[in-house]
Amino acid sequence: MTATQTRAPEAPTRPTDNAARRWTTPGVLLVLVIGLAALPTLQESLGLDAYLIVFGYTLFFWVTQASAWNLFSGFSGYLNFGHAIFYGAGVYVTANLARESDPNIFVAILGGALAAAVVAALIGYVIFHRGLAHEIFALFTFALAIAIGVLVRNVDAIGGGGVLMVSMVTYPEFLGSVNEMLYYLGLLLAVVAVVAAALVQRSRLGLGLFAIRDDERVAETMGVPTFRYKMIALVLAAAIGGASGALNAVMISFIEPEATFGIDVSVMVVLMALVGGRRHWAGPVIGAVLMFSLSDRLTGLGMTELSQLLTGLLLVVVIVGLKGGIHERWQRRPRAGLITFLGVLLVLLVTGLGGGFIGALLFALLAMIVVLVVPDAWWARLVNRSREGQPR
Amino acid sequence: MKKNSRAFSTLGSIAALSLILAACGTSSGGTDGNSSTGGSDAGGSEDPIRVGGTLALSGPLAATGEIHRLAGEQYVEWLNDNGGLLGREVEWVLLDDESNPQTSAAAYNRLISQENVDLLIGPYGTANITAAMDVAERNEMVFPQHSATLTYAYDYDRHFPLFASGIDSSRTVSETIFDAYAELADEAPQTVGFVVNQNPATDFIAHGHEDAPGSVQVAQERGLDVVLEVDFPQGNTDWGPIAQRIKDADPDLLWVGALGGDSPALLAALSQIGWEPRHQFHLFPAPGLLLGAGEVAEGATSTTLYEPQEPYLSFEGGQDVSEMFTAAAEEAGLPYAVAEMQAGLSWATWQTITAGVEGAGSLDQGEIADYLVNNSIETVLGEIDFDPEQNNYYGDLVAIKQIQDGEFTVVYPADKTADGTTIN
Amino acid sequence: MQQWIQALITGLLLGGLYATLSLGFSLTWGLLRTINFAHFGFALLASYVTYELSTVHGFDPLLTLVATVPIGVALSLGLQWFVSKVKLDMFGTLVATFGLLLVLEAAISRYWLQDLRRIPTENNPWLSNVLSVGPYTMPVVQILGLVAAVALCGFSWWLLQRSRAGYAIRASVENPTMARAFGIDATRLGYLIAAISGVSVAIAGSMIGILYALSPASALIWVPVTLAVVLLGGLANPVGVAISATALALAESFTRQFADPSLAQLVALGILVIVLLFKPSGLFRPTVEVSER
Repeated sequence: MTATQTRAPEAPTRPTDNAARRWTTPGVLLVLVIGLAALPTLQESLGLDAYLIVFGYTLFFWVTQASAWNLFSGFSGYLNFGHAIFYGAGVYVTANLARESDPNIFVAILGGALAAAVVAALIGYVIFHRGLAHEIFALFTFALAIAIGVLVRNVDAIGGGGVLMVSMVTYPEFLGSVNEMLYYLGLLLAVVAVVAAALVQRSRLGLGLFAIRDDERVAETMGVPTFRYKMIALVLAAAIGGASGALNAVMISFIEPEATFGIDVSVMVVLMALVGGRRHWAGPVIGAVLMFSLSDRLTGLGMTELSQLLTGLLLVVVIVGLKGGIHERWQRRPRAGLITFLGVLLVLLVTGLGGGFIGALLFALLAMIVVLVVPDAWWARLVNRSREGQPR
Repeated sequence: MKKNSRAFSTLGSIAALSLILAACGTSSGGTDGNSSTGGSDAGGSEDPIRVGGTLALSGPLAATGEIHRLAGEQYVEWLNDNGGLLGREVEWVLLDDESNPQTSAAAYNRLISQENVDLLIGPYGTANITAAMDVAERNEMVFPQHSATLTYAYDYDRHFPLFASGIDSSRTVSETIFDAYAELADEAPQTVGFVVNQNPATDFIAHGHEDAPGSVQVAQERGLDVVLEVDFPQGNTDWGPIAQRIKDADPDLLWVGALGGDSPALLAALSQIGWEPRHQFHLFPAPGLLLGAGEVAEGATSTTLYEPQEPYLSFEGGQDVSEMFTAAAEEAGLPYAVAEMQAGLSWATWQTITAGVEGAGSLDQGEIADYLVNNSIETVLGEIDFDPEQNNYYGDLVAIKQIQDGEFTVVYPADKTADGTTIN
Repeated sequence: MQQWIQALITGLLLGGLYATLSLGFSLTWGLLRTINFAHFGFALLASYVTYELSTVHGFDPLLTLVATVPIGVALSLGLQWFVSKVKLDMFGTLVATFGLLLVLEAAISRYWLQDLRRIPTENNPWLSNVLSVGPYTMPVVQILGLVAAVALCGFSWWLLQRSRAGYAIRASVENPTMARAFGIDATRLGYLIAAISGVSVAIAGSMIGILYALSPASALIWVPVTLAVVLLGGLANPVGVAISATALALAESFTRQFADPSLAQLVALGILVIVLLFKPSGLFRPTVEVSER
């Protein structure tokens, strides 16, 4: 996949391939993004549901949040269970701007990013100076998020006495309806988040964070400026999370502290990143797509207990079956995984068996996971047999 | 070998998961969604009319969401048994919003643009209703809803609220409560203590909003002495100190801004420290739990809009909701299987959308809205006149019920009492 | 003055519940390296079993411990068996047990519905059973809960610090390779810890069932306070758990009595945040120090 990747278990890439390989991923992603950006315009002529626009926005939202979270926590090993602090800072910027008049969405997004970055800088400065152990850090941030929720509930200047409403925002007309505006800006933020994560991963900063994850003391003796790197990554992650939160306030419209700073967002981003794989920028993207399309399909079943049960089981199965997440496992069989995913997706889309695009996406991901968990011994036998021209 | 067995079980699990998903996906006929259709008297070859909505079927609001689900299912069954809507069968496409406004907003978008529903019905819970109403407004769909309390905030001209407490609900509800107690004349409470859950719904009735006064202010206006004002968080776990403060303040009337299980927990803590309320009011308690609190809850009052007693039983559909809900709730295994305010609100909301469609004679959203605004609607809550001058709110239909001899009875106003029962 | 003493009593009694609920979580995290979110599901299940047996079958709510404790122990042992079989890292256990919590919630809402449940007063003599000393009152069931908390924490302390098994447990966590070389059977000791955790979570769950209204979503309201107690008390430190549970409960109780009940949680979590900033490992030493992961 990426040539400069630090921890690919395989990947002795041939030097001649380097230039081509280096541009494959960005190229594919660029095409994908252009396609996604054109979707609202083409949706009607392609005969797709308008719901895809709303689904798309929410999917981008989770991709953004999970990628932002991973940029700091996945790379550095400091699992932040209070990501909702940054998300919530953004939400509350929009909500407070909306008290006076309908805010401009770009002002809100920038304000949200800035507010979250400031909060992160404060928290990071204090925490990293104290040097909390990884697991203590995890649950400390969890408690902090809930404490901030209670604080906002009780400070009317921020929380508006419990409820704030965002009914409308202003934005340029070419962005279309509210749903389309959310879709485009959501996509933009998702691209920013993913690109930021990918760039960080390939940079000195990324290498430093990986060193911190592996062993912070060793990293320090190697001359990695651990404090500075952790601060930069945390503030960057927070800014992206806050920007996306500011946009999401338009979607929720009814802003309450418990829901905003509660465990919904904090825990969900962690689960998405761990399921997808937290050592690579692509991990949280895969995790977000899998978990959100699953939850979307399950919502449609209207059988609450069953959907809770299936989500719970999937978490157990994926974490036990694919330690390190889907992406890490995928790197061992990239071609087979990709072919399965695209093949199943295509077949389901053409035949309509998956029950629409979202269903097809979900089943294709599940099929890919199945291919990835086949044990190496069986896999070798399967592959060999097919190479020998199917001997009977 | 061991590794293989794990991989094997993983494979098995994922295969099972896919099968379940696939089975469920196709079982509802290609379209997703938990559709419930009742009897088949209605409709010929035509497609059913699809009514879409979400409810809190999981999460913190699910206890009440469950009541609305049962009531709605019964109504749809009743409707289809009685000829359906415009001669067509009615199908309810119900999604779970997980008590979460974001999920609710996305789900309403989905109902409109993917499930292609013809009509909408509101979810449960103020937050979810507010989020969903925005979606309805963007799509110009008629939006009847049963339980949003922040009445000042809703100005969408096609929303039809059934929580019939007037546009200034924090004032009207409060006045009704104190009016009821004023009936006691010489023995009416002189001092009042407020203990209020911070949930937006209870907080709004108790404390009001900018220029809408709440109960505390109303009490002061009426010359009552407010001796205690305490807010407690949602999910409060320690009632001892709050009980102690009530005991110290010793109010004539204990006004509890309660939700769900708050009331019995507070009453237990009060009885442990040996203080018995002389008069007690509870805003939105779970009625079954309050009755289960036993002797300490005797005399407790609460608000209601529908109770299974006269005159409500004589209102349009009043008998049906009581009988059908009770039967369904007993079958589902709910310990308190009585149709009261929530079931009544749910029924009235369905009656409103039904009346709008039948009245307009079409599924055109504009025509339905016009009909609802221009005609009075018969519901289990009584007759309702949506008033566009007041953002479609109208008069105050809130009544006060009281636990007398271990059962809820409406005691105020007089025309809502069964046989002139009075507050005590 | 009377108010102060009453708030002190209420806080102490509440501390008992906090300690019982947190002990198991702390032990499994500190000694078994499992951050067990399913813990809250175990407690919820115990609460519902207590509700069911006393409301439907008419048993004394306290007597239901006969059923809930074995259930808690069985679940706890089962989880420990599973975790040691699949060998997850600490954050892996967190995701897996969170999944398990969802499964338990689903099972509970399948059987008891989403409806709020509470033992009616007529089936729950313990709600009105109060010990009065002068002007002060204390619910007997909470006194018993406090006794149980002290006993559990005390026993765990003795086990970890004074018994041969405890020495072996600490050794096997600090240095598994060395411990194995000395013939210490870490697996069996792991089950011992899991069993204690199961007992305490079941007792806490039954107490919750006696005192509060239940709904499937209510498992999560106990998460913040448990984490606060565990972090403040030092991992797997039973004495730390007892003291920090009491301290946090007292802080909450005084806030509820003299300031505003809505600020109680903020005060408790604020204390945690401040303490951690000055003493990152909690107020008390963890029972074993493990080098980071």
